[in-house]
Amino acid sequence: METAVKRDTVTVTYNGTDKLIEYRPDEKVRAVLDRALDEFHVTSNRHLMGLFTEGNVELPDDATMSAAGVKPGELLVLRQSTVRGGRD
Amino acid sequence: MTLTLTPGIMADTFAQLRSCGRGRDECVVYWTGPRTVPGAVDGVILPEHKAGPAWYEVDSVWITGFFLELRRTGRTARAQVHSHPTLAWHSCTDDLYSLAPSPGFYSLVLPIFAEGPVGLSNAYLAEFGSDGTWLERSPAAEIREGR
Repeated sequence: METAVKRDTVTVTYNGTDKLIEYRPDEKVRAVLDRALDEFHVTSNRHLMGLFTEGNVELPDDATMSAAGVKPGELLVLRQSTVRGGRD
Repeated sequence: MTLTLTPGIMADTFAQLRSCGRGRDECVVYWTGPRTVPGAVDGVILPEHKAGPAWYEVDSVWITGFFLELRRTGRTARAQVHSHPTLAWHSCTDDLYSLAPSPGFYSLVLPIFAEGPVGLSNAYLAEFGSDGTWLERSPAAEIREGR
């Protein structure tokens, strides 16, 4: 018999669009970030992207969601860690 | 997907890039529109940023706030538009650090600090493709100004 694994959700917003992403509290932020990137079809240079709180704190990739302080139902922002450009 | 600009967007874009860049620094603005109207652009947003003659960097707190504001207002950023000191092209930095590196997002580069005539002459346009790379596009074919 399979044991149901409890999964919470967060809302991830990216460039004006929201997606509900499931997670487990003991799951690494990187795994949740990867699912969010898949949902938004971000396929290249994924290591440059991060999940941020509404207060602009970037969640550490190697932390668990619980250790990073994420609560079920929380709103997170998916974005480039740095946005820059220029000739050089 | 073509971008359809409401009247005045191109002139406003040049005015902001010129005013901020003062002919000596690069500058960037974002073209925004309602999420439910594909390709529509009716807003020009100047981000908080730092810049020099050959670079710009957008303020981190501003980016998060901008995405939250887009969500709240049902809008999206469809393109980034920035100036270069000389020729318009897409540098490695432009490739890697755009605002929204996902399919359908555009990047328009304007030459000579946008000090030339208002329009797409000598501009460079790229679209982020589904394969994860930037694809060169024809500005005249992909960007239309409404009347």
